[in-house]
Amino acid sequence: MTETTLDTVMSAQEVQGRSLWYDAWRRLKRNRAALVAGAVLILMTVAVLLGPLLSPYDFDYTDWDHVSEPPSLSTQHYFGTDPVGRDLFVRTLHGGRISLLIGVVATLVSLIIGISWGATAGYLGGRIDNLMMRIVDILYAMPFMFFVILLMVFFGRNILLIFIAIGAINWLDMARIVRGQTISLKRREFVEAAVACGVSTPRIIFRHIVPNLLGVVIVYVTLTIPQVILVESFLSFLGLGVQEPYTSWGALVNEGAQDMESALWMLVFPASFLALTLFCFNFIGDGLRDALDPKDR
Amino acid sequence: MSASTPLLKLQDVHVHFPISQGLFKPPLQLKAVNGVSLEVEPGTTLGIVGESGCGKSTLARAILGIHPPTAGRIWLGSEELTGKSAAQMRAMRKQMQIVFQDPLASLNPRMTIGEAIAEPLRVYYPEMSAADRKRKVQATMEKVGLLGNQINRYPHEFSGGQCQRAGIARALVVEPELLLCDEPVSALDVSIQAQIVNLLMELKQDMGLTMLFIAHDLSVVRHISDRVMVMYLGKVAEEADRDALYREPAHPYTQGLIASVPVPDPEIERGKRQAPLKGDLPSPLKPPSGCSFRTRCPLAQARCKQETPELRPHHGGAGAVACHFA
Amino acid sequence: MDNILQVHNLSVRFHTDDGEVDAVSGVNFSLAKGETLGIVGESGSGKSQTVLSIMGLLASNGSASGKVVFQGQDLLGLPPKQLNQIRGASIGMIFQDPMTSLNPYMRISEQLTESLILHRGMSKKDALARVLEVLDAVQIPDARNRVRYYPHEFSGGMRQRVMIAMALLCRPELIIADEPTTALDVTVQAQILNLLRDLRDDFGVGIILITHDLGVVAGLCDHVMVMYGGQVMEYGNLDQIFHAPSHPYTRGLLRSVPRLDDAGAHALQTIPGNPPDLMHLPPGCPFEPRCPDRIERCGKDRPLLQFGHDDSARACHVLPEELT
Repeated sequence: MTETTLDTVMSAQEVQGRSLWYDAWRRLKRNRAALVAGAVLILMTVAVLLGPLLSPYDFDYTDWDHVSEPPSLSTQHYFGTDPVGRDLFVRTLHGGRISLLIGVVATLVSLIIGISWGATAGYLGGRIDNLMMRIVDILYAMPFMFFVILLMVFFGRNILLIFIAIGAINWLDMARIVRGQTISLKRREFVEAAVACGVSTPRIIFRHIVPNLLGVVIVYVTLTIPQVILVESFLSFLGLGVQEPYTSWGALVNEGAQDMESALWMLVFPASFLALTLFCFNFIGDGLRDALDPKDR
Repeated sequence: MSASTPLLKLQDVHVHFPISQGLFKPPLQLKAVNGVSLEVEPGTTLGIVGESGCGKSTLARAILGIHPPTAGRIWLGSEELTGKSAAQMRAMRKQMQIVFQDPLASLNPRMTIGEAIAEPLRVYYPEMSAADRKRKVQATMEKVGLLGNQINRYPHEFSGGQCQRAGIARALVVEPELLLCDEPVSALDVSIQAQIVNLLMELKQDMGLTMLFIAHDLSVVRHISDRVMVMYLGKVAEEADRDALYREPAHPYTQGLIASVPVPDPEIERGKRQAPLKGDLPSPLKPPSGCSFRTRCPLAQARCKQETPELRPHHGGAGAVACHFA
Repeated sequence: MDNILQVHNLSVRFHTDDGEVDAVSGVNFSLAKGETLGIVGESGSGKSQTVLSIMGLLASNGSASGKVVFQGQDLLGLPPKQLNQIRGASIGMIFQDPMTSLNPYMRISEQLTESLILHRGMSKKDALARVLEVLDAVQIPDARNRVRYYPHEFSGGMRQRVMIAMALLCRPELIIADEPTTALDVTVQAQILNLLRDLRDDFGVGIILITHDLGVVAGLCDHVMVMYGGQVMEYGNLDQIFHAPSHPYTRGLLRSVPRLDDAGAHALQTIPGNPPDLMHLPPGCPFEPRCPDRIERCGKDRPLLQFGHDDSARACHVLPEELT
């Protein structure tokens, strides 16, 4: 007679499993700071997408009657105007769209390239790993700013180019981290078991190794997004960011810094939005790191 | 002499690992498996025992092709495994599967056990429909004593014994001919070990499996095997029919090993005053010359240092021993 | 009987994110001078947590209640400083994995002399002399030279001997050994068990040995305590436990172990089911779900430990004569 386990659940209904992601989610929910930060970010996203509807002005409309004016409710320039008469409220929110978009998209680009590169190098090992990581090392040594400036000079201040430039630099860090994790994962017994079952190498990498390093990657991503936003801000500061009339938080902060003494509102509003967003990403990143602690059991 | 072809045959298999010693010295050779030959008849269980560094786990991986042998030949049935390409080996693995030691670690924590057990089916029967796959997985789960409705649960929700059953199910879902078990019960509680041992014996009977059972626990090996092979530092010390080996061990290492196992019987244990074997296991990197066991052997003499003993027939022709004085 | 250790109603509870875990509930036992007690159990039995709480080494989310009387003091209530003194000087501990118990960056000589210099105020020279004395007692060859080695330069068996030496340094009254041979090879295990036997005979030290291996217990212990689900199932002297076990769990355990002298190829008798979930222990006997002799009362009332004649004890509602 086969020994049967004495489970108390005897119904024919299939029991729903409780994955490790669900356990992590439960842990995350208990972290108040992370939850609040998450809520703020969601609000922020809604605001930048729908907020401009609340204002009668367009982001590039120049209101010559109200130039460089402080915030007022009567003129419906809630955040005031800039020296050219453009409404700061709408521009801040539009700038938010660009900044968040760059943050997310550039990070996604670096994620996809970084994971594929790092996991493949780490799993295959040997000479291929050596070659792939030496390429990473060489790219690391290149001066980033120089590279971006060259791109901008040759191809103009194209927003797509900014995505590519930033993403192209950030994937290096991601690749290194992923490679390290892959190397320690490939020694685990379940990977050996997959090899013994005859599973093909690509499937092992993407079905077995990558899901198990996503925890580390997710935490790293939430800390990369603010970094990318800041890089874009820096580019704007140098005058290399998004082209007029489009704007970003970095560009707005740049303009605001120049007129700081006479028109403080021009600095305060975009800078606050930027700082708040960065705080939120960092809190979420910390919360995720605790929730996804690799010592799951 | 049996007329059937052995299901598994190894001829003088060596598995050596080069250990780098820096730029200027030639690498040291770690001879994990140093000349092992064996034959396993279909439907039988060969138990392989030995302590750390004896090479039994490396041997299992060499057979599966995970670490292909540095020298020697391996046959599965009439097909030779050595010299096959990676793709060909993958195809061969349908016939031989393995159960690992750590039940929880051998299952991907992010996959449900249903997905884990179904994976070999995906590899070897890609045309199988999802519904058929699910049916087969649940049937195999029932066979190993798991409830089919647990198919969507994750490994960390199960106990060690249940995880090991899942590991066995994964190994058996493609109905292999050869089942390798690498210390399948060492990480389990005593009362669960008995369940899994019984399960393996039953499955072997039902499915006509041939088993290679690797363990360091001599009592379990005695229970489950038909023939037993004792390894020491990469070489075979003795190989015999189960009863013959345990009743009349010929090699001094086997004798020492059997005498060292604590038996749950106070009378027998009270009689033990001396540890049967002195000294430590030599490092596999620098095995003693000649017979590698001579540093701990009560019978060692000058000849043992100079001449490595060959494996010679013993136990009335039904076994073999590698010792000058057996 | 001169008791060096008395444990009354010891319970250990862990506060985790997922709930409260009762790792140990109501354990009672005592240890006489020079006696060896074996605590046997599987995972979740609470055997390790019992001794960790005696030593004050519980994790921060655990709390112990009850009384542990050693040298006239209740160890559970002691402030860490005093506990530290007792730990080093009168209680020695041997863990399962010697590699993690020894500092890989310190030579053996430094590690071993450290506790003597700190606890006994000995000079370096005297401490080293004592260390060499103990290393000889644990049969480490060429101790004079080997004492300068680092832990990784020793083999597994040698490291465990060093651990034992460390435990013996201050001439303790009590040694607690938690699975000391589980990680060792069989032939090395035999040497270490033999060593423990010799040391017990020579030094008259009391030993609490925790293990899951019944063979080890049979070779070393005077008394045996069988635990399951954090509770004591049975307690008795060696012969009684092995030849006349009176608890269904003990009997099941003895029957399910494959024995080296057992020539059969029959199926092993097993205990069906799985180890207990300590977060959701049943209200009655923790072994009830797996017990072949259970009656209705077993699921509702927790059986209390009843002491019989000759010092034995069992916690079971069913009488010994009525067991299968």
